[in-house]
Amino acid sequence: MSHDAHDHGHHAHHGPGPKIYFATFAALMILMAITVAVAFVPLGNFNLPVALTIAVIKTLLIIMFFMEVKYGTKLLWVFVGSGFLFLLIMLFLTMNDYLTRDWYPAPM
Amino acid sequence: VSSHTLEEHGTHAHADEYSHAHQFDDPAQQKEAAGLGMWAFLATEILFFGALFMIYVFGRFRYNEMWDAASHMLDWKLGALNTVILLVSSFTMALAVWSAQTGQRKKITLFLTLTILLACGFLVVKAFEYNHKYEDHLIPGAGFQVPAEVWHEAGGGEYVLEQGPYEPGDLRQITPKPALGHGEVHEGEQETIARPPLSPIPAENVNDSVGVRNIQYFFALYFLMTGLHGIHVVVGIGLIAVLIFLNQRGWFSASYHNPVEIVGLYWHFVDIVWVFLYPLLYLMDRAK
Repeated sequence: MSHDAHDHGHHAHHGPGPKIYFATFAALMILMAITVAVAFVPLGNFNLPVALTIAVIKTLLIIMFFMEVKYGTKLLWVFVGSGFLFLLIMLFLTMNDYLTRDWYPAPM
Repeated sequence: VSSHTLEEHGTHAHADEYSHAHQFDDPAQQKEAAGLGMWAFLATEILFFGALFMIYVFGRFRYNEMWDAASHMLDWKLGALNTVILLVSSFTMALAVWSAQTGQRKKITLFLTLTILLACGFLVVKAFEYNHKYEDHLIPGAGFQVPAEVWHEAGGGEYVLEQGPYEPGDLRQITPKPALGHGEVHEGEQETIARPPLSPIPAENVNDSVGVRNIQYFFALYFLMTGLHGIHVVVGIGLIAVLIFLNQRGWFSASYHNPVEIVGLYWHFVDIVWVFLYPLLYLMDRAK
């Protein structure tokens, strides 16, 4: 890591510039408009998955470009991923219980 | 490595600008450590908000009918306005970080100030929303009720679907399935365990229905989630104000600006939380 770090100049700037930030921002605004528009289209049970998919895409855009994780080290990716990994574990295991309680009633 | 490090220390000790603390090899390593530390903190924040989102998922499936009506009592236009405000503020924050990376001090102050103004705008809109909920008696607690006009405006219809208490003999029948490891389940056994039925009662009596508790549950979660998010916005305003103060005193340069980067990460995280809060709370079941 030390060697890798020395390759970077102290004053050199390696992250994205205003152009990429603006492109990210424009994409976020378009996705935001789509979120609102799609909410009023009757898709039945698919309204929620579609809204969540758009939210995940927006989150990835923010994390990758605004938070500059795309330009980060592999160790940073591990740190970023760990938070979401444990969130998924928490949601998945808990909902395994709550959302399936009606499937097999416990004998009284 | 050690001779190089010492040499570097010698150079930076006499430099005009602060570069890095003595425990780090160089600014790049210090910057990476700062980013990793912030992301470790953000991982705990993800789980902090994640637990609330988990309660939301549970309630959304459990109290689907009443929560749809409750969600319609929120103003989706004000929510959309706040989404735009926060996205713009994330953009200005990204530009502030870029200004720091390229050592443009005046621009740092400019973009940070814009971010603070947008954050204040977000809170003002939120205050209007909260006040409206107060006037509608939708603050959870002893005074909570759903006025008939609010119910009808939310498209609640002529009847409230009441989800009754668990009373044996008055329960919905579900398809019999053998419980795992318990062989055959005889009919009748599982009827007493199934969820209560939804029975319609006139909308004028909405506050007499058990279902109104589910609406109160929704609003309790709404205020908890948006309130916690709002506190994060207030903290963010304080942090950005400190950044502006430090920048005015010449703390940040192209070679040292970790605080700007880290507060930037925090601010983008607050934005991400809202990206999920908005569709989940405000846009539920709008198509029907």
